[in-house]
Amino acid sequence: MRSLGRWVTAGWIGFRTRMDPELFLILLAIGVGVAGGLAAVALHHLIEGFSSLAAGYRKAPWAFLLPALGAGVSVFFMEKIVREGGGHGVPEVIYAVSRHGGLIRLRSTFSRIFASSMTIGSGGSAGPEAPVVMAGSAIGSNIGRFLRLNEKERVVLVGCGAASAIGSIFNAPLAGMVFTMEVLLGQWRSTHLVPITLAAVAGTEVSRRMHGNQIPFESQAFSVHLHDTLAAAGLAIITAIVAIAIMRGLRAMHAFSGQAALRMGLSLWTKAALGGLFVGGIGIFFPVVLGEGYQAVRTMIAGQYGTGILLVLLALLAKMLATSFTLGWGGVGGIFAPSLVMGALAGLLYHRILVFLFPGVAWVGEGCFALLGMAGLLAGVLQAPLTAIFLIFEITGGYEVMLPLMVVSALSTILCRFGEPASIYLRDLVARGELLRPGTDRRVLLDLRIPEIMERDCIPIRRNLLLRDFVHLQKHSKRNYFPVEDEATGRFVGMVHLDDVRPYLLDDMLYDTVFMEQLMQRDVPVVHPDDELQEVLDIMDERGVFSMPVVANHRFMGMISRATLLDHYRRELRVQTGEM
Amino acid sequence: MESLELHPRFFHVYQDSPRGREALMQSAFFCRMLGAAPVVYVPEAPRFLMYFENRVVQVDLGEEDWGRAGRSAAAARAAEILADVGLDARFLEVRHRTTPALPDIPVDYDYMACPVPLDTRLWLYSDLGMRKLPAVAPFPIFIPAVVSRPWKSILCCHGGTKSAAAVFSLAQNLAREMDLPLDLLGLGAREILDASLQKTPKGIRHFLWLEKGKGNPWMEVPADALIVLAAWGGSWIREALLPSFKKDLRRRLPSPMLFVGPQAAGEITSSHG
Repeated sequence: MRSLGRWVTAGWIGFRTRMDPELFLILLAIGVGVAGGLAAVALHHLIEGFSSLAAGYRKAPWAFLLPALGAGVSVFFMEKIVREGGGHGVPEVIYAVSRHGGLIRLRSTFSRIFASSMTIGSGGSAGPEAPVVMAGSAIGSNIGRFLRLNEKERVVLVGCGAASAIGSIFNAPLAGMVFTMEVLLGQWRSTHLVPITLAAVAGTEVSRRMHGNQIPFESQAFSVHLHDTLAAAGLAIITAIVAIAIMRGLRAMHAFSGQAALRMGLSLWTKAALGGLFVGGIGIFFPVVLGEGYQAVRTMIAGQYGTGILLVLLALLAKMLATSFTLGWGGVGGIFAPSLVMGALAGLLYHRILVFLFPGVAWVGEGCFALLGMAGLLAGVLQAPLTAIFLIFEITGGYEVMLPLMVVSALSTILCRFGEPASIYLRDLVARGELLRPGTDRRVLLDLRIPEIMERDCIPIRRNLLLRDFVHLQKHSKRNYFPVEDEATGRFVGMVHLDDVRPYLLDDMLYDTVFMEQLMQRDVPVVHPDDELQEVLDIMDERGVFSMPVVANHRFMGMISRATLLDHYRRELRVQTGEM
Repeated sequence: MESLELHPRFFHVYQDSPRGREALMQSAFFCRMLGAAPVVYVPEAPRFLMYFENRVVQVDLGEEDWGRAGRSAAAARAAEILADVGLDARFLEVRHRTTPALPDIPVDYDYMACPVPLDTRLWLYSDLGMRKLPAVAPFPIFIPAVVSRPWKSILCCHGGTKSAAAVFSLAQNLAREMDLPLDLLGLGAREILDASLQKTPKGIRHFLWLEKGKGNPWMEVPADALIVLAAWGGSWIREALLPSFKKDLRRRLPSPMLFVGPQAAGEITSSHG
């Protein structure tokens, strides 16, 4: 058995060393793509399963309790069983990619799939896309970890997992690839592009094999004219306003629910259940708010949604409220699908207002504006116009709406930035100062820790050391500074720099009369090993010093200098920017 | 010529409970004996993450073990415990978070005391932190005993393997730094251990042997020893279901332990050339 293990290990090492690294990564990307696709298929089936289970009770008088039950159970599962905490997970993936080379917990490969399917299947207003992105990314990350890939390769596999998951769940490989590059990785690199594209294709192909090649939202052929394209600019204003309202509403609801839970002593899962109860209540009057809402979107695109401006406006407000109650109160799910529903409603509302105001104009069908609204809102919420364009283009299969689609997506993104400078996925990271893309000054400084760049070849001296002994001792040192320690306690008491000693060196008479304690600098600024380098540099600038002692628990540990820091900084920068 | 004496850094997660206080007292004793600088973290959430080079580890604390009741009071108690042994408290301020409720803890320490959750679901998460942390941490993991009692010797468990040699080297260093006698508990066949050690190392007070079916050496193991042993962190199923020497040891002996995982053993080997 042991010899078999050795044989396998030797074979693996031989394979790795002979195989071209890029080709190896491509093969892995396809594997991750298949796994990500399977995760998306599993989530799809689970949502269908929970939905059909809940459908049996929809007519019951207590059916409004179903979203509460689903949200409560899903958060209980996340908190108590898998101990992962709630949220949709995409910011966690972005954080892992930007700060920790794509390291994601193994449990994230499955946790949100189960939890979000319970939330959505029971009627919670949330989407399956963010959870499946988390699952796909975690699969890629853990495959990379298992195979001991380096940071850069692991990040690519995280992207592959995400791209395949989006590609699979929407049957939209292009959107998966663009979403990964635009939102998750935040950079377009040719080295990333090939594996991520192939992973998206592999994930989509898995989905097509198991579900068939279906377009999620079949659209009719729209005849789009110039006035429709110009009107799309107006729609961008509406979708930007709605996007800002959603983002602010979610944030306010999150803060409110946190305070309410604190006052009422609610656990996280009871808080989520309470949010679900409100959703169930709204769902009694507006069933369109329940679940991911794709059926309602199909109706809107087909132009068969109920008549009247007020109805659409109320449905839009109800969906916004239901989404805030689901996600703002801790339910597990994403904002992607609710954004599509709200976008479609916003587009429909805008079209009906246009028809009301300009009845003489031959506007394109309202289904087209529903599509444009979806793109506009998604572009605003994610601040990712390309993702919105490609997603709507792929999931509707219609090319004729491309021009207004581009107009509404681009303008909505720009306008939304006036109200919310960062996307829904990035705003918390930006607020916490945690969005640190590789190669930036702050990221490089953060990745260097004081203990690893500390100079340890210093010679500590005692306070009562005579100048004569010091003159002899300093010959063995490569450094110009010497930490002074108390001989009884070992505590750091000050520093002696060679410049401090130089005036006394020419007078032999002083050699046996001057102690180092008399020459040392006492008021020396010190740093702790846990301090961050940005703070250390600030102190160096402020005090005009080039090196500082590192002291912990009154013990001298080493020195930190600008010169050593610069060496390490350049090395780290090369690693992060891939120049090595 | 005097040379720079490097003072190790010891990371402790303080759980403000009777058991947590006992654990901190042992960590404080460890730091004082070794001249290490303690860094104490008073948890602000029931879990935290540690990002190692190739793996992220989530450490779960028991529901009652984190500072929900008041972190400042917990910090004051921790500072008092450290001050009793003449140590200054340095508290870790969390600077980075994976999510707002999930702090990231730095991993550049020389030792770490593993928090031991007192949870009703211990059967499920049996020794979870103790399994994962030694497996990936590049530093030894200190597992405090239930009750604090100063140890008077070091006991090194040696199975005759190459990694056990690194553990033995660490135990020798600890015994020298702490000025304590060193005992050796040989595991398995004596010939393998003899072959590994090549010649009898100096400074060993007692040799004890643990061989299947040959007497009961447990009675000879000093109860007031710090036990140093290799721990590889087996798979979740293996750790939860199968018997192991580590579990046997923890069940039989009330002593604090220092687990040296593969990464930590590698660090020790490389630092010793």
